[in-house]
Amino acid sequence: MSELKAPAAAFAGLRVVERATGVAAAYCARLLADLGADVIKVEPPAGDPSRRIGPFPDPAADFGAVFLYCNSDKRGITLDDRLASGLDVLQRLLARAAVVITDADRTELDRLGLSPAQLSADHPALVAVSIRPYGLDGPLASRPGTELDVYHASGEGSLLPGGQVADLFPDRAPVKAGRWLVDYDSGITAATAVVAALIQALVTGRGDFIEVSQQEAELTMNRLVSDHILNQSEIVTRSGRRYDFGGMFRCRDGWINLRPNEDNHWATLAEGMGVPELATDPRFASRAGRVANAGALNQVIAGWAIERDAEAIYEQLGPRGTPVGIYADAATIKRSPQLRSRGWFADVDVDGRPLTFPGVPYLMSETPGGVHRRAPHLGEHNAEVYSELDLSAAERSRLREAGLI
Amino acid sequence: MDSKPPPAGPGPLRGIRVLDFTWAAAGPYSTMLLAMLGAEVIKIESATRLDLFRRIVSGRDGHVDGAVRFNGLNLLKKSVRLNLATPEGRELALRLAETSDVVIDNFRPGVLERLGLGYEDLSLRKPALVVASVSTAGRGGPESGYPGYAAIFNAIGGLGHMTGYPDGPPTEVRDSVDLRVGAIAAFGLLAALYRARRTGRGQHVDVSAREAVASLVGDALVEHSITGRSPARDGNHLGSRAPYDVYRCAGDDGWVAIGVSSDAEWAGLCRAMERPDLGGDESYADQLGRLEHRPVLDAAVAAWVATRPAAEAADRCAAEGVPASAVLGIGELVSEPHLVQRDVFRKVVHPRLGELIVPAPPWRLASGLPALEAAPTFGRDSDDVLGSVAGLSSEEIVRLRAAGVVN
Repeated sequence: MSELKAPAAAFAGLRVVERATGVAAAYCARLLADLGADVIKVEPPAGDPSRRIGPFPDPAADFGAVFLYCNSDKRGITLDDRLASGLDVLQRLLARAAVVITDADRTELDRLGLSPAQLSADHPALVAVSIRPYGLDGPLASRPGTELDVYHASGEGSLLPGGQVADLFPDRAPVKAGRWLVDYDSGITAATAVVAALIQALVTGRGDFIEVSQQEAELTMNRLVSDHILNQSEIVTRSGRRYDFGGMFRCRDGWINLRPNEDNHWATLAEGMGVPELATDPRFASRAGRVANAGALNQVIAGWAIERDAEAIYEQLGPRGTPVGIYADAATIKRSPQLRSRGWFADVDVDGRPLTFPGVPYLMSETPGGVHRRAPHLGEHNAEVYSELDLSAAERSRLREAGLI
Repeated sequence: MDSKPPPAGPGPLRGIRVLDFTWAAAGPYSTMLLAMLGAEVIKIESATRLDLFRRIVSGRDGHVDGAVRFNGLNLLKKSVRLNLATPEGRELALRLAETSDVVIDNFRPGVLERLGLGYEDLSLRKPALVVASVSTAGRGGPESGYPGYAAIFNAIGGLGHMTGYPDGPPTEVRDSVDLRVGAIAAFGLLAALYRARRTGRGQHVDVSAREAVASLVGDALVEHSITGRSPARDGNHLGSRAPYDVYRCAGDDGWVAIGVSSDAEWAGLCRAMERPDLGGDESYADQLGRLEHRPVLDAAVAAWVATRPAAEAADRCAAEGVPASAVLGIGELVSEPHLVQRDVFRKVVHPRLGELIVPAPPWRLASGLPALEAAPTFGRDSDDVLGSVAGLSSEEIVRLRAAGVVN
């Protein structure tokens, strides 16, 4: 082992095999690695294509930002599982594992010995999870997918960027949220069920087969809106979707969000804007009033905000208890006093270059997770991992000849 | 292959009890995920602090049980009325906590502590308890007490900045952001529960909504560390890929998302468009070339899809191995054949609202998941839980109701 996990980690001793490419499955596995699982990322000899997404820490690196983010604290091996010998090694990895993560279709799962029936027979205690763009079954199951089409197949995109932006650009296309959001959402959704199945296995000794369709993982995130539309015949359109009052306001140097939902929120905002008399103004004092007089209310806020900088507004209103948000870019997030005081960021040595990584968003009092070790280079842990497996002398010599040991 | 989900089962979290102090959206989504996985979730409610989603918006008739919005995040739960600000209410909450595996809240930091129900109080009663707290900015730090909603988390977490047109403002990604925070909280909580089941030792899980959202743009933060620059929003683009965008199709508000990430997919798109001239052109053969000529290629794709319905354009792309989908509105999802065959939209019967359509759980388990049930009416399970779990007699419950403890 190149680094022993702290024994106190929540997933100490848990072995995970990640036999998948791309972002969603990698992120799912990384969530387990954050908390101490020993994740072995199994790549084809040519490497996971997501290694080739830039920007890169140096021009020759075999990983860029998104790969580094999704594969920290893992061990990486290459394995040609098109070969019978590779399939055998995969089985030996599974024999030591508690979790296997895949993105293969039914045919490929059968070939790999990873179908639900085969796993249940060969590795009954194993928790398997399949993460695919449109799931394992159904008319679209074999479709290729990337974050863009899957996100827009989930419903939320049809309502973005929303009314305020549509006023400015009435003829433009719907947009996706974030960059790899649908992959992260699928990864976290899958990881949640994996841990539930691990808890079940502690009692029953039996594993499970979990299937996650990324399209469904994403559409469920939007269920508050779909519940409205499907059950109240409510018409919600991209150009019409906006808050009844408050929301996004332009500042001198950027944008700010204000949501004075409760009466005390409005009172603190009125005071913060230097017009305390508006706190009790009958037009705005109650929520009903704020909704009925939204135009006047928004005009007051807009006139005040446009003369100030976003960070100044955030610093002025936040401590008063007004729900306020600055539209933060990466630099703003990185200098946030709040995130820094919680020690959220981790400095990780990437081949001599210190890079700052976001930490884990659940601060655990007894078994804190964290980002410690950079993502593996292609095949970096071949010798280490293969030497842990119970391989025959013939297999060892074959692997040596193939340059894997 | 049968595309229906496996038959119902008890769920992997059967036998796990969750005491749920959450309200509004992020916390309730967390505990609904646990309920969908088979946990028994006891939601503590009170007339003096009614769930925001029971009182704001979308009630058909303004009744506490009339909000579709509340139903959608509280399926499969139990509802118990308890006034935590009374000494007896607090003591009953502690008694329920003693019988639970998990306690979760999303009050502002300090609220439960003031009520004597903070982590210290709870773990004193039961050291094996996992206690999760979800708040805007987490415990500790100068912004710990800040209130927030989905739109605020979206802004301060950086997702809003990364969403929208490059020449336009950031985007208000709204309700869904709460659910993303809830999903992340559910994972952290379950990780702690897994460890508690192995070791008998509980702990506190402190979830910051801002950190949760920022982790969903985490690659942008790593990118900033590499380049020294903050990545900007870029519409539907992704790095240097082209063509990779959403294009207008025939029909009312018809759009198709087409994303080419490799040379092979570019070749496939040229076949789909029947444009061998583009496919054979060396200047578009690699990603850098396609990026350089993005306007030309986008115009070619736009012209090709302009006369076609979005679904047809997407099908032709997919048949050639190119990732593509119509931009689906929510009304379209329910009749999408793939989702219909996969039984993704389910019906639950609500005692006041009647039949409601809700999305299925976001996973299928071979061992099965519980069938969905509507959210509880306000206080539906007070008598049952206070009797069978807290061990109160029916006379005591009557007295507590009169005294405003069960309110």
